[in-house]
Amino acid sequence: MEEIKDNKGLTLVETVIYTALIGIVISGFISYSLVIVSLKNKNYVIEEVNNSSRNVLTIVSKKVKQARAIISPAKGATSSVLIIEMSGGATSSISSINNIVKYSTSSLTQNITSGHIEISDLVFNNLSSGGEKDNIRLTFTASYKEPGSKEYMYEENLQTAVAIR
Amino acid sequence: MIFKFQISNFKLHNTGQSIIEIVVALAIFVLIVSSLGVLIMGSFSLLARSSEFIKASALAEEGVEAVRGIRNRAWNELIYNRSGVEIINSAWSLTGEGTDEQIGNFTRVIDFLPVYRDSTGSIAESDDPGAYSDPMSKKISVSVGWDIGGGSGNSVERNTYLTNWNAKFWEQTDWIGGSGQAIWSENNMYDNDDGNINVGTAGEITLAEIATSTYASTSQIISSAFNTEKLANFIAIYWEESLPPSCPECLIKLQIKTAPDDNGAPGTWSGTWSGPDGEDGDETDFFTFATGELINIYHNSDQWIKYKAVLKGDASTTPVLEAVKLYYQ
Repeated sequence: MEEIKDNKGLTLVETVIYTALIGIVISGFISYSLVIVSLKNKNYVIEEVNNSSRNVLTIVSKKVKQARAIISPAKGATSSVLIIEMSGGATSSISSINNIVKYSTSSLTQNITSGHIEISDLVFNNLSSGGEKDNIRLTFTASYKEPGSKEYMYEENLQTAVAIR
Repeated sequence: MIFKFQISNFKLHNTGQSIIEIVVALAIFVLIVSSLGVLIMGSFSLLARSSEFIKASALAEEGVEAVRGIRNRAWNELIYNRSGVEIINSAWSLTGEGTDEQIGNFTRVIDFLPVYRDSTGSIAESDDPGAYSDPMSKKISVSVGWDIGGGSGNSVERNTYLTNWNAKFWEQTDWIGGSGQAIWSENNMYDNDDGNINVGTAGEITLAEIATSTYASTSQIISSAFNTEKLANFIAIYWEESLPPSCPECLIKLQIKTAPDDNGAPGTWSGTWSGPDGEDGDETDFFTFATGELINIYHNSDQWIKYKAVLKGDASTTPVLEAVKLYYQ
């Protein structure tokens, strides 16, 4: 009889301990999974913003370096549209339409940035005068488009400059 | 008895195994979770760092291109060893010696390093034999640094060589036509001299021989005024000379004056003859390096220029001035 009593008591304590332990483990596991999911989203958001920013920076500097002349913005002026005359005489432009940066020539229009990314305050500033070569300063803000929660909020302010060769 | 045996058997089995199982399972779980956590946080901070690198590279590029913009306007503004850049009147300019810039979390430092060349014109080390500092070339080093916490930092660096390859120049290599030409038209004449000069040999200015093998000890010559035909930035002055090795005190030194345009004629000339210090109210400083020296930015945006060459000898021999070259943008 004593042993049976022992057994019942232990089982109860065991059950309590098990329940507590499993509770702790499961709640830990759930919060851990939630953190991982939110980190994954945040990673994705940062990567998208980075990719789009890098695209804008490299394409603008490449095109300006290849250009024969800058048509807009004029020397000393500021504009949201960059219009360049390429060496063959054709013109092409880079501007932000509905917060997506597009590169257009007479025959095609190409998106430079992803549709998930909002490029705002895209400003080209021509910092040159007189007979000098054009020097374009570029500033913009890249942010994720649907800031639903904290993990989807990411914003970068970027600036660079490039002179025609 | 059978029941009792079964219970006790179950009890023994159950208790011992369960606790060890839980402890081991928990330990393994914690190990896996924490290593996964470290892995994920690591990749996350790597990504965050990559956006810092993108921003920093863009800022470094901006520094290089800003200096390139200043080069395109006025090479002789690049006189500092280290300076930040700023935008004044819609144009890039330097903020001054020893300055840097703080842009958000980033610190941008732009260093201007001298470029040395050897006798063949190739880039050389400063201690190579015959190496001279080329005032028309500069090495630009832009470094963008930021703090990543824990007292450590990161940086991105961009280096480039800039040369003033597209400058125009005015060169005079002959003075045989003599004095009396105030405005440059004949390329072998000059304005005036002090009488102790000999321009009789084509391509040479020497001290006058006042008796057999005895030369005047010093003399000067003033050139005609040259019209650059636009608002010019005068950048650098070069000349060719040959100094007799037996005469350590022989030297040739130059000064300049500039003037704005006044209906096709020179306007008011600089008050005094100036050397590398610019117009500073005295005439004590001279350009002394025939391999080239930058002209002070004081003379920028003028249109006319003339030079004065001073020759010094030791009476028994004479230095020879063979060519004078003035660069402008």
